[in-house]
Amino acid sequence: MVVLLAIIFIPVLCFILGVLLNYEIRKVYARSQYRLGPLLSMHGELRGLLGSSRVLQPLYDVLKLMFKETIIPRSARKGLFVSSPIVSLILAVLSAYFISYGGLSLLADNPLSIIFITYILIGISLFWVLGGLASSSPWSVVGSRREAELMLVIEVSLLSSIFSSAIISNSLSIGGIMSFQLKSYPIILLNPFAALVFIIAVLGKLHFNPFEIPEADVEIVSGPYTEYSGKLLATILSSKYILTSVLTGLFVNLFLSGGIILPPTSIYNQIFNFIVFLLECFIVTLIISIVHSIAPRFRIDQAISWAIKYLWPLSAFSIIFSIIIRFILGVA
Amino acid sequence: MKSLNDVLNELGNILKPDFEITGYGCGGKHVRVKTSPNRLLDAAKYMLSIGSRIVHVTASDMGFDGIRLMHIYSLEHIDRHAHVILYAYGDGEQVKFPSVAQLTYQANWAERETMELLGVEFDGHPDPRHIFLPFEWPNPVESSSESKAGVKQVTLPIGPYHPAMLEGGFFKLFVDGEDVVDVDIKVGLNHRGIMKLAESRTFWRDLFLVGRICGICSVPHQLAFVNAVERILGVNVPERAEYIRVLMAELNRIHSHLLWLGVAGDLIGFKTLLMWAWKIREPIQDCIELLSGNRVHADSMSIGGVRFDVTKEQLSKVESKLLEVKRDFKKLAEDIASHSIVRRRTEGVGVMSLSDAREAGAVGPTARASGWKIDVRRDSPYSFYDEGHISWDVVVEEAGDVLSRVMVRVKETLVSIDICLQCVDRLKSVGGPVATSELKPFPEGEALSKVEAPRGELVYYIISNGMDIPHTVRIRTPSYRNIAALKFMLKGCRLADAPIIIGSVDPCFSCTDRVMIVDSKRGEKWTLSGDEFKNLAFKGWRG
Amino acid sequence: MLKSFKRAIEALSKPYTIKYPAGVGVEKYSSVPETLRGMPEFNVDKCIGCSACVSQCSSGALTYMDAEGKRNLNINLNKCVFCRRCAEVCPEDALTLTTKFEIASNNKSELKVSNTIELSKCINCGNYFAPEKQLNRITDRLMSGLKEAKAIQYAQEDLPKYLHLCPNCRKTLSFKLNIHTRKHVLYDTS
Repeated sequence: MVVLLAIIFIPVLCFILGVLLNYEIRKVYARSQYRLGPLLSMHGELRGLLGSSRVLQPLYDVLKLMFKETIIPRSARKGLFVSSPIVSLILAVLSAYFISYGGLSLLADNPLSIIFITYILIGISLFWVLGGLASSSPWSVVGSRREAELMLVIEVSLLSSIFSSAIISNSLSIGGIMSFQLKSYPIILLNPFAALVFIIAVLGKLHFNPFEIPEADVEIVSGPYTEYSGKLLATILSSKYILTSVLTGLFVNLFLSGGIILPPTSIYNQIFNFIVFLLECFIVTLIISIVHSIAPRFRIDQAISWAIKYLWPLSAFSIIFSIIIRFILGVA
Repeated sequence: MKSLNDVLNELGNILKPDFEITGYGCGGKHVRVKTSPNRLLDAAKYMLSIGSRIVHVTASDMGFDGIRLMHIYSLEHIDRHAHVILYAYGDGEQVKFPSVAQLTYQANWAERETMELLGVEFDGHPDPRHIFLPFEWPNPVESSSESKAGVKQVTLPIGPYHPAMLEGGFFKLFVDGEDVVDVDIKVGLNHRGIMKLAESRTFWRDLFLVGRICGICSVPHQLAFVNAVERILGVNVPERAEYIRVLMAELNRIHSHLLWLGVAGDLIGFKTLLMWAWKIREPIQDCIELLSGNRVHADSMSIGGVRFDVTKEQLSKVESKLLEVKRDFKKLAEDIASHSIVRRRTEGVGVMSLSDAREAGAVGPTARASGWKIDVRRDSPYSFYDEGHISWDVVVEEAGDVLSRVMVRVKETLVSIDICLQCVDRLKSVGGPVATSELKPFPEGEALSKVEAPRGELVYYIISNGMDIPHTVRIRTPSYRNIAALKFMLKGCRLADAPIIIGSVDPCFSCTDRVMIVDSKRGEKWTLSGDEFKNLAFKGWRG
Repeated sequence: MLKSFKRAIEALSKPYTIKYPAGVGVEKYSSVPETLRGMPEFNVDKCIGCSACVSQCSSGALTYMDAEGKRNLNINLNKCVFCRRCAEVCPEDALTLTTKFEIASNNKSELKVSNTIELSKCINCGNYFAPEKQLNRITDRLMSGLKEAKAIQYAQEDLPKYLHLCPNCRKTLSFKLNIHTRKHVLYDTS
């Protein structure tokens, strides 16, 4: 019974968290530019249904899209075009189950959760690429090609930082990593290089500057998402929100001990842990948003050469460093 | 070093007996020379060989005399203000002239425009397609617009609707993967028939019309128009009015360069720079609004002076705002010039060498960034830009890439702020009227006037036949030349650099498209159909 | 990149954009200057209806129509470009551009600024021809400019007889009084 409740509740929690993080990203981005930030803008049919608060503006944007016409280009491959966003949303929701939200989780204690979540995260980006290719527009083709090239360098770094933290904790399950951090120190202190690599990889996966290349709006309109509109675009945006919160939650779980500071014995400790989890998510998003605001976009070849010159060696070093730390901790 | 008279004597020797000096303008420095159509090529060869550049090629229907084709050559490297306006009348109904575009690219677009405007034919033009009329208009010569550069390409259109461009222009890029192999430029999507409109309204109404050709460079258009009209009338502008004119022109330049800096930032993905640069620009807009009454269309010029006077309070407010902008902008410029990713995106990108710049006929900051030191305020000083009144420097960079163009504009902004502060200083002590009282009915005459707009050299040629309505108004904007020069910059660049290269010449499509067309009827087929697009897209990623 | 980082952090607490309308209660941001060229307005007392503004309007927004003994001067705010040419040429300083800039409206009929002047009748044929105030103003200007006593006397005698004549009647009268300059060509004086 509790499992059934969790199956429904966790994606909703993840989505709401994604909405709040997206609001924070837009707010910090705007404030760093001397602007005010997102003001309330609601579709007429939504007024009165959900209350009106500026913090939920990204949610209103997604819901507004549900009322708009979904246009499918006549020359697009309809099956792949329609199914790619839906599959990527399903994968995003699946990945949400593997994160521990300050103690609440469904599958975080699965002994192989790292492996599962790695595959699922790759799959989400892959289906965005496929959706772009099926759109039959020169912009989407260029955008998908860029996304595929970017994935080549970013996924390797993401993997290496996830496995660095797994090596240190000697466990392939997110729950195991978190309990290791509860006993020992947070992994951000033990291996800060892995944390740095993870943050850069998150910038790449979520298309934030300087890796906004696949979605560069002055060159290729919207990249893979150019031809999407209406409900399909709402699907893509939702999967983006969920991915934001999943990746931020993953960072907090792997490097900041998931917000679990006090042992989860009493209900007050659990609430405290949850609040710490939320706080850490907001701080991580603050950093991401500021980097997004002060860096222009790389060119795709510059991004790849920068990644190969700096990011890959750093990732390799972080794995070696983790092995050394593991050895030291094992001996000590 | 030759002088203007030597050049005219040699030209007379070459063109004997079809050589006749018919008039002078601007204190004897603008020389009007009449010749016959079949000698135009010889004259062009001689003028190009002594290093002059073609400012414009244009034509006007003079009624019984026929259609007059004018080549305007600049000899500013020999003597200040020196120009030779060589013209010839076509004969009868079939008007054919030899094309100068076969000698130099500078006349390419101008001759295509004249072909559409008046129906003249140019023998030997390398690319006689339409430039402003729609694609589907029957071409004078059926030539294919496909690139000859190879099979495996995708055609990627930037425009007519594109988020990179605020106005409509069509750049057809032939790309191979991420490399741009060739480019075909079409403008004319924003034209409003301004030159034709200007020929049917009185001079005063035209003044407000030309101020609305472009929102960003509204002041230089009015200034050039008013200079030309004052040259025809032969009136002198009072001293205080000239200082106010320089002040308005330089405020316009500062605001235009700051706007461009923001747009350039947006084009490389640095939206934050857009907001920062535009925030710094706000006090300048406040200054323009305080002095003239409107943030965008200053409407400050009047025939014979300016339309308003400035009080001491206004001057002190302007001065404090200018100092604030100078302080903030210096810091921002240092931050940006040392930003590693900005340098990576702009250094070595879109290079145009000095010889290419001369061949393409680039003007303004685009030319100065390639090392070519041309500036109308130095070569043909108007208002009070000469050394007797205001001291300033011409900014030149050597590398010719996007970073040089950014730095030229940044440094020019700082120079402009200094010029404005000098003007404000002088205006506190110089008194007198702000408009002349010697206006009289318009005589017959013609005049050429040039002004340095923020984007380059802006040329106006006005012919008056004694009525209160001008007979001919010909405008050649700097973006006309700079967008044509893009052809040299875009070949061989990468796709991701195309928007920033197009943006780095500061294209103002509103300025470029102001030619009259005869009819606005379109054919039924737009450029590529949906199937052709799809095939091209699939060809790109399958093949 | 560090300098940009510092600037971004500094900017976090100082937004430059404020809520509309600018200048209301906020001193440090720009408020509307008095020289702003906003909506034009007629000064009903000073306007004499001479329509000099109509002839100089650069966009054709100012028009006038004579009907039923009144002259209606209309400014169509849709076409006005706020260039201030009309105010510049008005001989009586009756037209000013105020600083009102919030003139957008859902209703086209609201976008009209107008003034109505009474026309006066010709004493000969009875048609309406010119605004009464313009004729009065001509009288004032003429009388205030004359110095010699004889000139003032002639003017005081002739103005009531000849000022209120429409152009057609004036032409006819000049034939009758034999003062038309081309009379030797136009009609027989024998």
